[in-house]
Amino acid sequence: METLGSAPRWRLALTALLHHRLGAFGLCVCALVVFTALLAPWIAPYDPSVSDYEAILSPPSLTHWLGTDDLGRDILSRIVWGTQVSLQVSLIAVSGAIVLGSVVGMISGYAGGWIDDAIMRVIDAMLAFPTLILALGIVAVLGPTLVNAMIAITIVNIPNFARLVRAQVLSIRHMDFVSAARGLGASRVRIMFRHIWPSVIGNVLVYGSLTASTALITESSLSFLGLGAQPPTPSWGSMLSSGMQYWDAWWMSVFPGVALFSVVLALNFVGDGLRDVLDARITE
Amino acid sequence: MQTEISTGVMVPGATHHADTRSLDDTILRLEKLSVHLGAGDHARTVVDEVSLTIRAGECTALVGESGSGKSLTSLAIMRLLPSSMHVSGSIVLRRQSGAQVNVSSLPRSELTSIRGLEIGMIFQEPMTSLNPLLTVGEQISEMFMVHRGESRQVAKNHAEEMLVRVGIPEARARLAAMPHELSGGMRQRVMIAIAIACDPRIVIADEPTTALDVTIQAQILETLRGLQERSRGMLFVSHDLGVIAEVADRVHVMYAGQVVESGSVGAILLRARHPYTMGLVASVPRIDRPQPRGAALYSIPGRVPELARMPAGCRFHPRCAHARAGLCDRVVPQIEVTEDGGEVRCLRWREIAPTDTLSASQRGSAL
Repeated sequence: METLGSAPRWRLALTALLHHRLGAFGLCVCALVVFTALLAPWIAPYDPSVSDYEAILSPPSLTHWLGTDDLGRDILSRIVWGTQVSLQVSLIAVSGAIVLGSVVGMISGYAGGWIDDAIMRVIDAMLAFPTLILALGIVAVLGPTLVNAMIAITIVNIPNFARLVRAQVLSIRHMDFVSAARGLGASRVRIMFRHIWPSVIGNVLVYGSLTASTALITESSLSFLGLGAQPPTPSWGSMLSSGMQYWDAWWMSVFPGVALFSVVLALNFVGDGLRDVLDARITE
Repeated sequence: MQTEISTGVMVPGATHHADTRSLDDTILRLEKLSVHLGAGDHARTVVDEVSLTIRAGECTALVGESGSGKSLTSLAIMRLLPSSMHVSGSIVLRRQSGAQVNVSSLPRSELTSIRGLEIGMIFQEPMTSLNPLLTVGEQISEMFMVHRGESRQVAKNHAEEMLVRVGIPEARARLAAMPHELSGGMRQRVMIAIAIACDPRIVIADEPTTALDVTIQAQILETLRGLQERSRGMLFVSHDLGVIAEVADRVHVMYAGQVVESGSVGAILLRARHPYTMGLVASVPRIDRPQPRGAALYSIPGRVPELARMPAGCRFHPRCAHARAGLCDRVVPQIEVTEDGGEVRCLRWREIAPTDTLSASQRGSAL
């Protein structure tokens, strides 16, 4: 829908983001993660699920750069393959939350009245639970698989986006250009998604990139508890979890932890960068 | 105020006047249109029984101070009033198909077939009435895509034609411009292009030049006048008599929610009968009749009454130089028809000499 004039706008925002020091750095790390995930079969030196029984719990060395775990699997290879899980969670689960949350928030904010009240009470109820507890409950009901963990992560993040979008819509729906669009015959759906949405999307993206980092942590937590990615799928969270049992083999938990930490940090940088860039464009 | 409404009966002559003109070219007729704010005991009438007609090729103007109800009247026609307000009376629109509909009782789902298609609206603030995040081309072509179901490419070509029609140079390049890249006058031209894109037979212009500086104002008025060549009717809302004099054929003067005087633009400007209209006209500085050096420009004393404290009798009497105690503060004036086809809502209009308004109010000035 938004092709005519939005392409230059996106390019503008992207260019500005690349000139934002931390934002550009975060974007580079994220790009690195994406490439690693796509090229994992070629980058990883070993098969992540094949055990080398000669080298169980071996410390970092020239053959196994980041060491091996309790089953003799190469840590580096598992971290490389683990990017795929991370990417799925931060991209698919968060996109799902953005789309569903935005639609809910848009309808709630624009319709108002009892529809708004009803939706917001449900959202309030969901927000009353701590994120992880709610996610745990959902996975417990659906069963412990990676897909279900992603569904849970999507669901627990819907309320935040719904609230964010609703608040924005409430302030925009009374602006002159919205009444003007109404006066010129635009339907309600068109006003919501054509006229109001472009003003909302900036904040949604900023919040989305920050949510991607918390979603990663939620996934790792679920995997850590055995409720996310199931063995032998390499996930940073489950790697941390198994490393905990081998206190001497510090490399088992430190390296996945560092990977998780860097990506979360990078996503936060991107979020901050986006916020600064979009803010600057608003105030200019 | 409520009782006043129920007793406020139109003088037979008023409707007779409307009948004498050809009804064929009538596109829109407001019949005792009232806008009420709130409900129950707290209800207030903010627009009180406004009746007017918009004919093809004619520009009807609504004039009045801020708070006189002129903008609300235009919003009521578009059904754009906030939900706290409701409307009584009828808004009879002759659709392009020839069928007559009452806009005020139309279901909400049918409004999109009226807005933009039968009635186009030009809003007051070109700065805020355009979506800041969509290009000019997108906003104009949207009209063609929504109302005519045209493809993006066809709509874009039509949008370019519209920009040419409203006098924007380099139309093709301007299609990709964002609203903030255009000047106020350009933006108002874009608004006009959007309003007339689907060739509506009525254009409502709500203070279209108020936010613009004077030279641009003249250009925009010129553009608006050009629109009327086609068999289009216009409702022009303004507080600026100078602008009204340029574009209007018929003028309705509103005060405190009521039409206090109406007539041809010449009659209103040169032979005003209502003291309020006289005051309005006298408040306009005139280069052909300069003020004596040091003399203050005339202004109507006092201010528009508050809704909750509408004066008894004539709503204008506390500010009126001709008010007579015991009459104007007791009796509610009704619309009366004058010999030249105008209408006036004043108890004493026959006694107040219908002389040249300007000389009457500026007695003693350099004539």
